[in-house]
Order: sequence, then C-alpha cells, then structure tokens
Amino acid sequence: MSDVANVDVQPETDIDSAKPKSRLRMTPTVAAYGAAVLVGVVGQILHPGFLGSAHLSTVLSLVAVLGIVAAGQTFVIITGGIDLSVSGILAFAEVMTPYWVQGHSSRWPILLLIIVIAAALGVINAIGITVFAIQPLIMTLGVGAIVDGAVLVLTGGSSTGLPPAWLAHSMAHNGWLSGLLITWVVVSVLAYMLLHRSTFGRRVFAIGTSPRAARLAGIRSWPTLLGVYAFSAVMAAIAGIVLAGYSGSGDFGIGDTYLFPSIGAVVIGGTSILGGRGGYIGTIAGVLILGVIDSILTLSNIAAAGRQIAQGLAILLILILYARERRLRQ
Amino acid sequence: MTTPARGQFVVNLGDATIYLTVIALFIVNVILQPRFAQVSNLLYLLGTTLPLVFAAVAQGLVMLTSSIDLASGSIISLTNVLIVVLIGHGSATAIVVAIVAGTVLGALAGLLTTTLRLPSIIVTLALSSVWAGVALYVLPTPKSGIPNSFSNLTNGYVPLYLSLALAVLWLWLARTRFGRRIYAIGSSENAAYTAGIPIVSTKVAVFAISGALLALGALMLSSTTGGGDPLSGSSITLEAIAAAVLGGVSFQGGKGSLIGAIFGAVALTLITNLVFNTGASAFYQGVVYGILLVLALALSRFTARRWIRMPVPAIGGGLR
Amino acid sequence: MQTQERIGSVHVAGPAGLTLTDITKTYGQTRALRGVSLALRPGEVHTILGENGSGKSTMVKILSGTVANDSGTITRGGQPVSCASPATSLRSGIATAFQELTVLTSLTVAENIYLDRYPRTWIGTVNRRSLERMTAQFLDEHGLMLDPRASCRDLTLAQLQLVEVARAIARKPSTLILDEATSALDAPEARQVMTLCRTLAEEGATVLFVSHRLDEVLEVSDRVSTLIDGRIGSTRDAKDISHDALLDELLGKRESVGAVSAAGESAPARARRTPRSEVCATFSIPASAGFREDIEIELHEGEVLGVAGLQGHGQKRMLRILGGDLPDRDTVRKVNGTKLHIRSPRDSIAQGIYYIPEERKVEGIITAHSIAANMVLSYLPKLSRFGWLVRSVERRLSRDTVIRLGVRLNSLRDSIDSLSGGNQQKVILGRGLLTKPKVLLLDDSMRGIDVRSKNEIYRLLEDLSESGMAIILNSTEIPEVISLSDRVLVFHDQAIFAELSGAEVDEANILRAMFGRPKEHAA
Repeated sequence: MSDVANVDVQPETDIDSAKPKSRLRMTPTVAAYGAAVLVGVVGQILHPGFLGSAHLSTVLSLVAVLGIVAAGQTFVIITGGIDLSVSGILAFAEVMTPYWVQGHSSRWPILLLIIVIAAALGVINAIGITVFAIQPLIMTLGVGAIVDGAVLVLTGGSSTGLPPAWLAHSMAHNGWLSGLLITWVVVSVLAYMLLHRSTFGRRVFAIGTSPRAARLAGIRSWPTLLGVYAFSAVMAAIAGIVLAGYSGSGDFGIGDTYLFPSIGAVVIGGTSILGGRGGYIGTIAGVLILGVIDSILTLSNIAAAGRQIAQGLAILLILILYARERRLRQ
Repeated sequence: MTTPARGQFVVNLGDATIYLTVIALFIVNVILQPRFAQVSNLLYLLGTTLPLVFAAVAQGLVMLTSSIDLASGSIISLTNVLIVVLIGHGSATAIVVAIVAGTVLGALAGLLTTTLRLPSIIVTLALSSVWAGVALYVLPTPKSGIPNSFSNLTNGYVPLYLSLALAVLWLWLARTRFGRRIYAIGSSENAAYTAGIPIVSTKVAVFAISGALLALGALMLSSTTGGGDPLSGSSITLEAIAAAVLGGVSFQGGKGSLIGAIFGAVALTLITNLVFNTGASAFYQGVVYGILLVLALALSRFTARRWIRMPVPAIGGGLR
Repeated sequence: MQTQERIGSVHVAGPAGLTLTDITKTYGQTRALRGVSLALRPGEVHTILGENGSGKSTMVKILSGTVANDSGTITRGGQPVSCASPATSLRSGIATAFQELTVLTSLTVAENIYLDRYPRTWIGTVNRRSLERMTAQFLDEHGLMLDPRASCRDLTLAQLQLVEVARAIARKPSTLILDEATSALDAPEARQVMTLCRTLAEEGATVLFVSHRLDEVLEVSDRVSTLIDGRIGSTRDAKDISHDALLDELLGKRESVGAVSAAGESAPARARRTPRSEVCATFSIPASAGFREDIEIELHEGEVLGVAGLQGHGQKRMLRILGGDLPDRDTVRKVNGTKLHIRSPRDSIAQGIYYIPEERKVEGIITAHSIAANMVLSYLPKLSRFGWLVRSVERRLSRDTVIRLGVRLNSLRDSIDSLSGGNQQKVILGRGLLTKPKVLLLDDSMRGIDVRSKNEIYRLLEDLSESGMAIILNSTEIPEVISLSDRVLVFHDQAIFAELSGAEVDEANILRAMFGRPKEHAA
C-alpha cells in the first residue's frame, strides 16, 4: 500500500458511515413528494374528508395498479427506453386470467403461465432492441399490438367479465387494507431492492446514465436490458391479474388507461425520459400525484375529459420546470 | 457504391421494399377476391384510408427531422370534433378553423420541443392527453350532421386525386431548399447547425405542416363517417408510425421518402383487407400488422444498406 | 470580389481584415483562451501554429460562431462583426472548414458544397442540372478532383475533407478558416489546397490556416502566429523564420511557462530506468487497422511507456484498440505469453488490460451512482451473492481504495458529482485497479485536473510500476510524459515516428517528432 503524503482523509471510521451531504437536497424526487403533499392538501380543502382513511384507502387501491405497472416502466425508462407493450400485456393478463381459470380448479399454474408468457414477451422486446437495434418505442409498440390482437383471437372477442371468486376475494378490501394494496407494497419493496440493492440495479443505472462508461467498465448491456424488459412485462402482467381480481371488467382496452399514466408517473417522479437519473421512490410520488389529481377532479364532478387534460398538463408543467432547472444549473 | 453512373439511378433497397410489398399484397388480395380489383372497390378503400394516409405523411415528415409526434391521433380527434361542431357556421368556416387549429397545435409541439430542448417523445405524449381531453370536452359523444357536400370529398375519384396531389406536393417539397433542410437536420443536426441552417424555424415549420396535414386527415374522416367522434383518432397515432416505418422512413431521421409513407398506409389497409378476405376473424388484424411491423424493422437493418441500380426513365430520378 | 450568379449567398467584402481583441474563453476550470489579440490583413495567408491545448480549436469555434467568447471583441475596420451563431458568422463573411468534418454523408458532393444555397428552378425546387454544372465548374476552376454527383457515403476521408474545404471556399468568404484542413490529404492534394489558399489571398480574402505541418505552414503563409497556452506568442513574417526557430519558440515559451506546470515542479524527474528484462506483453497492430505502418510494441514488466503526439495522429486509436474499445480482429495481443481474444472492453478487463478513457464526464463516471458504486463498477460480478450486492464488501473495497489513492471526500455514499475532477479521476483509476490489471492504459486521462491531484496520481503510477504493472500513458502534456516514462513513442501522421529512450527523452526531441522533424543528434 502506498503512503500518499499530504492527504487529508477522514479517519477510517468516518467516511463510510458519514452522512452523505446531498441527502436532503432539492432533488426532483423530493420536489415530487412535496407536490404530492400539496395536491393532497388541496384535495382536503376542496373536499373535506379527502385525506381520511376511508377515502385514502380507496385512492391508494385505485392507484395500486398504476403503481405496479409504473414499477416496470421505471426500470425501462432509466435505461433510456420506453415500454409501450405494457398496455397489451396488462390487457392480456386481465382478460386471460378469468378466461383460463374458469372451469379449471388449478389456479396457480395458470397465473404462473401468464407471468411466464409475459416474461417471454419482454424478452422478445429486448431481443428486438439489442440484437436488431430497433428503437424501443417501435419494438414495444409492435409487440403490444401483437399481444392486443392475440388476446382478441384467443378469446374470440368475448370475455367472462367476472373474476374468479378466490381472486376477487383476495384482492378485496379488508378494513383499511386490500389485497391489491398489499400486492403493490410487495412489488414496491421488490422494485426498490432490485434497483438499489442488487448488481442488476447497478447495471441498469450505469447503462442508462452513460452506456459508454458502462461499456468501458466492462458491463455488457444486453443481459441487463433483457432483464429490464422482462421485468416490465411481468409487472404489467401482475397488474393485470390483480386488476382482474379487484374490478374484474374483462375490458380489452383497459391497458390503454394505464399506459400513458405509467410513463407520466415516472417522469413526474423525477426520472429523466432520457435515462440515467431517477428511481422508483420518485415514481411512487408520481403515481400518488396522478391518483390524487384524478380523485379531486372526480369528486369535483369534472368529466373524464378534464381529467385527461389535467394529466397531460401536469406532465408538461413538470417537464418545463425540470428543463428550467437544468438550464439554470448549466 | 451509391453513386449512379450516367443513365442510371440507384434505389435504396429499403425504400424499394415497401413498393414491392404493396404490389405483393395487392396481388394476393386479388387472388383471394377477384372483385377486389374493381375500380370502384379500390377507390372506396382508398377513401377510407385517406385519414391514415394523411396521418402517415404527417408522422413521416416529423420523423425525418429525427423527432416523433405521439399526439397526432389526438390532433385528428380534436380537429375532427371542431369540424362537426362548427359545421353549422358553414363548411368553409369549419374547414378553415380546423386547419388553423391543426397547424397551431402542431407548431406548439414544435416550439416546446425546440426552444425548451425537451425530447419530442414526452412532449407529444403529454400533449396527446391534453388534446384528447379537449376533444372529449368539446364533444362528449359522437355526433353526425356532416352535409353531403362534405361527404363528396371521399367519393368517386377524389381520393385518388387527393393522394396523387399529396404525392406530387411531397415530391416538390422534398426538392425545395426547405425540403433539403429537413433531410439535413435529420441526417446530422449538428452539421446542419454549423452550416448555418436554421434549426428552430425549420423544425417548428415541420410540426406545423404536420398539424395541418392531420387536420386534413380529420376532414377526410368527417367525410367518410359523416360525423365527428372524440375518439376517432385514438388508434391512428400508432398506425401512422407503423405506416411511416413500413414505408421506409427512418426513425433516426434524414432517410426515407413520404411517398413510402403513403404506400405504408396503403399496405396496412391491404393487410386489413387481406385478413378480412381470408375469412379469419378481424381480430387477427392487430396480430398480423404487429408482426409485420417488427419483421419490417428487423429486416430494415439489412436492406437499408443495400442498393439496386436501375436505368433512368425519361423523367430522371435520383433525389428522393 | 464580385458576387456572381444569384445562388442565395451574400457576403461582406470589406477592405479591412478581421481584428480580434482580447478574446477570452473559459470552460469550467480550464482557461482555453486568455486574451487573444490578432490583427489579420486582407489578402494574406495567416497561419496559427500551436500544440494541443493551445486554444487553436477554441479560437476556430469562436470565429465560426459555434461557441461564444466570454469577453473581447471581433471587429473589421472598426465595425463589430457578429459571430453569435454559425449563421451570423457566415453572414459576416467567415467560412470555416472544420477539423471534425461537417459533411452530410447522405447528400451528394454538389449538395454539400452548395449546402442550403442551391440554384432554384422557377417552381422553387433545386435545379439539379444547374447545381451539378455549377459544381463541376467550380471544382474545375479550383483544380479539385471530385465528382459532383457522387454520394458522400462513398468518399474516402481525404475526399470528404476536400468537400469540406470546397464548401467553405464556395461561399466566397472574406475570411476563410481552414482548421487542419489538410490532415487527411496526400501531398499533391494538400498542395492543391495550399495553391487555392494563395489564390484566394490574391483575390483579397484573408485565409486563416491552422496547421501543425511545418513545411506547409512556411510554404503557404505570409505570416505565422504562434498560439501558446491561450495567448498569441508572436506574429512574424513567414519568410523571416525557419522550422527550427518556430519549434524553439514553442519550446522556449513553454520552458518559461514550464516552471509552473505540474510535473516539472513537484514530482521529481523520473530516473529513467532501463526496463526489466521480462516482457509482460506484446502487441502487433496491422496498418489495416487505420495506420500508415504496422505497430509493434513490446512492454516490459513495470515499464511506463509514454505515448505522445499531436491530436488526431493515431495515438488514441492505438490505445482504444489495445483496450478493446475498438476491436480489431487482426491485432495480436499477448500478455505473459498467452494470446488474448478481445472483442470488447469486458474481455480486456477479464484478461488483464484496463483502459482508462479521456473524458471522465462522458466515458468514465456514472453520475447516478455514489462514489463507492462508481469505484466497484468493474468489479460487480465479484460483489454479488445470488444477485444481491454485498454492501459490506463494497464499502470495504472502496474505503481501502479511496484511502490508498487519497481521494478527498465527505462520504462514500455521496454522489460522484460532488468530487473535483482530480478526485473523480482517482475513483476511475481505483475502479481499474480493483480488477488487478497487468497492463494499464491511460488515454490522456489527466486533462483538467488540479496540480495537487495530478502529482498524487503520478506518485501512484510510479508505485504501480514499481510493483510490476506495465503502464501505457498517452498524454498531450509533454512534461507529464517526460517525467513519468521510461520510454516514449511519438506519433506523427498515423504512425510511430520516433521511439525515444534514456537521455533522448526530452522536450526538444518529443516536440520535433510530433511535428515530423527527426531528432537532433547534438543533444
């Protein structure tokens, strides 16, 4: 070990336990949570009881599905891509779960099958993107279209409309909680651990921030991308399954209502659409913001139209703010 | 070697693929349904495809500058709705307002993208939600009431004339200074900037023109459906992208021709028709064109670098 | 100068030349230009001569409008000249042929030369025939052998460079800037370009010629200015100076500046060791990989091999090939006698070669990661237990490395952004060291680092070589190369021009070799 003189380094015990100085800086994630709180307060003012446990639990359950989809989307966007196939995969899972389970007593193999199919679709996405150098936007678009069509073909256009009893039961409310909410929590923990505590997560950030630096450091991008897109697809499938249990609509177009907000939530939460910075914690804030805004507007009797406008404007606003902040920093 | 010798011109294999594909699809369709080749049938089909044709050209135009417009379907929905709502003030008013609206909406996206240096993908994604919401607000449920004079826009030979006009317009535009700027920016924005080409104004103009084209597409839609529907454009965005990509317009920008985009839209319609004709359920349509899209893209990596030589026809070629 | 047929280009042809007064430009911590003042004359060919880092390219960027200067003015005949953007610079009559070509490869030669200034038909489209005719005429008049109809995709680098130059000339500027515009050209083509310069000058334009090729410089120029460390050293008539005098000036100025430079001051001059006899690595790169000749390198254990040369002469390319960044199937690499198979940096790292890039911001650090995470990036597989990151090992390794390298930081968990450039570079170095390489490649990695950190890194490198690691150090800072290397390879024109060892390693010889002059025999 060389002895480098004239260097002032903290004594050994300090540097790894020392508090990182940037912990509470105004990062986009912190801002997002601030906005979430703000929006929640506005809701409380406009509609007393908004922040009460009964209503909150409903709101949370409503956004849980979005939260699960957005978990996968977060990973994809961090790597600089985008996953437009989640709408198709979610619809696939949401429709096929009751469709396949009906008449069969074995439930878990069916669920497992659906998840495996989803993972395979994610792998197909990744192959197109890495091996054939197809833009993520188009590749996932194409795969999503295929899945959408496949669902129609498989079911002949008719769906059961009713979720299997066991699923509906497990997803339903039980006091404050619901199976749906619990699933979201589990997914969130998993997503966080994967992103911040695994070597996979390290590679995800590395590839998204600087593909060149990652390559020079010896990281291969394709295995990581494979994992990322498979993960996103699996998340979409899980979201579809729990949605089938919670609301059991069998609506073929259901995926579209989650696709755009999943991207919006990720962006609002501070993850850059260009890749690199961000994380799921921020996405959760984004999900909450979108859910609360939606809820406020519903309570205020604003039609679906207004809600769509609000969502779009919210994202635009955030983008403009982030752009200004970026410019100021330079 | 991509340089043509005297009396020759070179065609990019990637570009040629779409023309060959359309021809192939056409033949297959005719085989399955001999009456397909009837002129009246073809014209009718073209009429119903017109919205997609316009949308594909609009999207292709934006893609040439290495941007993307995910709001195109919403712009169509909104302008479609405006037409039906304002038709009471006279057709001319409705048309003018719609076109102006489309242009403005497009230009807005262009401005946000260039001046704020935001990626077009997320800007247009957000805008698509806003415009879709506005469309829903203006006209919550579909409504009819388009006068016959309007519907004649897509009758008879008019679709053919319109398509030809579009093609000729593009052939002209691509060869103007403005058109060359578009290709330059898509090819290398940096080099174009250094050479003094105005980036912001060109890009905003491209988005604006795209918006106008979308409004025209909405016009066609009103014509065929006889009314307005706030959800009319919802699936067109992705179809337009697929059509443009199938037609050889490169996602990276600077490559491809909008004639290809027109053919791409035609190809998609032929596929739909094909699926319909084989007696397979309409549900297969989505699967088929999704697979086609992916295949075409995978293939394009190989065809994009290959060229074929052809003798010059009397008009002379070369500039795409 | 008259304006010809309407091709949509108008320039200002004034009687005076451009005058730069006190131009400064600072990038972050680097002061690229420190007050450049220069009065150009109309009708002259004026060459700017300078080494890497002298500020040449910044000057070109400012004049061409690509970059804005921080202070100072640009005037012509007392009137201010706007160089706020490329478009305004062009309107001000300044046309530039850049070192990094701005030719659009998807267009033809003719379309590039008259980019955005095409002759138009009555319906507003580009008049192809007229354009081709014009271009053919232009090329003919100027003696340039290019086919107007050729697609630029098919052209060689040399031809592309000619197109770049042709485009600038075709603008009929009052000031033409040629930034290393002959670097890819053969002698006859280069000669043609220089003839064009003279012709343009005779027509009253100012030609600003940036080059390092001394022969060309003296042959074509009226006056030569040296640019040293962001300031004009001197401006003299070309006929009054010789190659050696110019080199001496570059040397001399630096010697007085050298007293301030890092390596000269604090680190002791390296006692040039004769390399140990054990060869630890051999590399054979064929000329087909992009060089003028084959490259054969023999590295001994513990040897520090310095690599020097002007930018763009092949050193970087060689290092990237060795590091696996630019894989070349015909390159033979042997470490400790075993032949290596390398298709990517990952392979290199696994087989004992670690490449440290030049631009740490873009190619080195991962801004989303903490300091510790950046440190262990190349070591990830060994840190995982079934995919989960063993944080304790990460902490220990990064702490040890941070101490060993003397990185000044607050906490390992801080973002790497919080570190200074020097400390960031130490982290990247640490990242490489964790993989225990046998050969370390440093590709001009010490740019923009503060003196103190640089010295600490120098000492570290010396320790590493003591322990047997072989190091190839590419650097544009000559004092650095001198103080660290046992042997020095100097590149010139895509090949190794000179190999210096022992007492031969001094500034004079290196500088000469960089400019293609053989070394002096009387030391």
